[in-house]
Amino acid sequence: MIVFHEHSSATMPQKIVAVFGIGLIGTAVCSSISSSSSYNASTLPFNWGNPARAEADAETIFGFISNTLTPLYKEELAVSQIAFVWCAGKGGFDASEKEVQDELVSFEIVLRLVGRILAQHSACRASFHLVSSAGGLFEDQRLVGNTSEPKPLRYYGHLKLQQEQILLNSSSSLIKRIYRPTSVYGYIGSGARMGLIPLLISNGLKNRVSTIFGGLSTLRDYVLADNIGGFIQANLFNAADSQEAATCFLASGKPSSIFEIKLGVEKVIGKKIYVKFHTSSEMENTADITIESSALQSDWTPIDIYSGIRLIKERIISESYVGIK
Amino acid sequence: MKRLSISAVIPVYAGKDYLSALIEKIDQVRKRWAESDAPIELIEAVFVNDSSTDGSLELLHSLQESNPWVRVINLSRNFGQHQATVAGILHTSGDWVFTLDEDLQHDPVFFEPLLRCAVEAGADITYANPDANVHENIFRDWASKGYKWFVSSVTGNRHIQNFNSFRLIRGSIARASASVCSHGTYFDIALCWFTDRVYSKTLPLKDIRLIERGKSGYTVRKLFSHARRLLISSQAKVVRLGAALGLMAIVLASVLGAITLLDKVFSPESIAVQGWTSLFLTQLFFSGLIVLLVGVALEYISVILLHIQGKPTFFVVDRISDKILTDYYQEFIAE
Repeated sequence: MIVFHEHSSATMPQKIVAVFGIGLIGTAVCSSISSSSSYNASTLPFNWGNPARAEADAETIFGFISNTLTPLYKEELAVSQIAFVWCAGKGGFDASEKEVQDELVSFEIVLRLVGRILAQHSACRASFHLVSSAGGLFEDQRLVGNTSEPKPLRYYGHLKLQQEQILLNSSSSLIKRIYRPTSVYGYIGSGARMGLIPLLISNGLKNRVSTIFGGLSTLRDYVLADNIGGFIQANLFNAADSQEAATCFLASGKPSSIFEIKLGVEKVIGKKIYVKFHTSSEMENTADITIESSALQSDWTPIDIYSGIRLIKERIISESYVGIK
Repeated sequence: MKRLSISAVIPVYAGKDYLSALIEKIDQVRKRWAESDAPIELIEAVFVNDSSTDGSLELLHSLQESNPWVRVINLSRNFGQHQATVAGILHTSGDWVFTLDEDLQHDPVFFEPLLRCAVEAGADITYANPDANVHENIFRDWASKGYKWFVSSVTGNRHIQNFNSFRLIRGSIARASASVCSHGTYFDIALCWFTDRVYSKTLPLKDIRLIERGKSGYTVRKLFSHARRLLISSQAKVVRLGAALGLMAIVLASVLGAITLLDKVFSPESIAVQGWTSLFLTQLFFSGLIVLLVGVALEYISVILLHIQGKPTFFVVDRISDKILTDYYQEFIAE
């Protein structure tokens, strides 16, 4: 996890952001925070697999954040603001029951940590930003809107629903924001989880075969991780104005079939890509998930899918040139 | 009970006067399906505003407020009816997609007969086929029919004569076809790249806007552009016929040349005019060669063009869910 903290002054409130989970979305949130202001970043360990270690790590994080809160705050010259961002999801969509339970334990440890900070620094305004999953909650539902009922079909979806409920039932003084992104794509380097689109681009550029666990007609709503990162960053401290819990979808509002994505990637990289469709029922991921555009917030403005594909392609190509002279 | 979802796509250009009535008619169909507990649900009607200048967009936005199933997409400029339809289809999620004009010439009451025809015939595309002259304008109706017949003949695509903007398309095929369409692709030709199961249903259709007001959504320039795109998108099999004729000319010139040569050697007295035959045969041979080579070059260009226009190598379709509707309609008949 990473803690971002600003230098404080008597007139400007001090801001601290603690980001848990540095995957695709976490990295996008962190880079958006880094580019928005002059934060100092400190990376602290947080063990996901071992609850005892996670508790010890949470203690260290508590100590670090408490020490980071400046004397100015303690003298009540300026009210400090602290935002916790949870974008962990180690197991992903196909997470096992064990992976899901481990993540839930970690989530509860972090919420207890937040509670302790709130208790000790009651004048501090704290918000919690949970990155949930529209795909996990509404799998096999089309045109999901604000009144749609979550019906998770996988462990991962149940986990996200539980996390949302636990957060909503937590301390009333904590400002709560829940984000439900759809199919997220982005590129944070080879080896990391990247989603379907970067995988097709990367394999296409290398003339490798991509395996798709879905059908050509499977409908999804793709959204760029950078857009999510930027949106969450913009809402970190704006959210402090409203105490009411808010849930929002982070989607494009335009369904895209895998066939459309494959064609789009082929157009952008300028050649045919090789794909293999995996039809095993164990790994099957063919359910449609689309979001109603009217369910999206007006200040959420994601880029279109083709611009996103071009952006990712440029990123992958530029990474492959690093170190070459 | 699993319900099949239906989307409707309506490109809008200068159709403000008809939009309220159209939305009301679609809503009636939607409510009837919901009330009769049919395994069909109209989940959305996507209106694509193709840069109308008559206030259609503002009206659509106001109608959207009272009809949450209405979705509005606003194109950045006037792209044309086919491109607007393609944009709308790419925003749908339905198992089946209807496309229709905004000016009430395609009555939503015909959704049901088209759907029934499609599932009973096992079709992927069902066109509405007007039972009489749709424009009540002899020149317009016969020019349209004649041109479709001509293109159908030179391309060998028998479905062209059924093409109509009031269509029902299987959702996966509609979205795949819309994905491959470039600006020069005729959408119905792209549909035929994905399926051969194309049917039509005869319905009473009338172009009310043209008949009552003498105004059409199409200008003459747009109609010509439409006709050009239809021809360009189709693979003109006449090119192959030309190449075959060229090859035949070469063979004929070679055979006649050999006969003439033998004649010259064994009975030179039979050739009355010297040089004429050899000149004729040389011309025939090289003309045939040129026609053949042009035919080969055109075939190459045709393959490249189809590749650019996105003709797929293959596509997978799932028709299992049709059973829900065929069962429903069988029960419907039994009752």
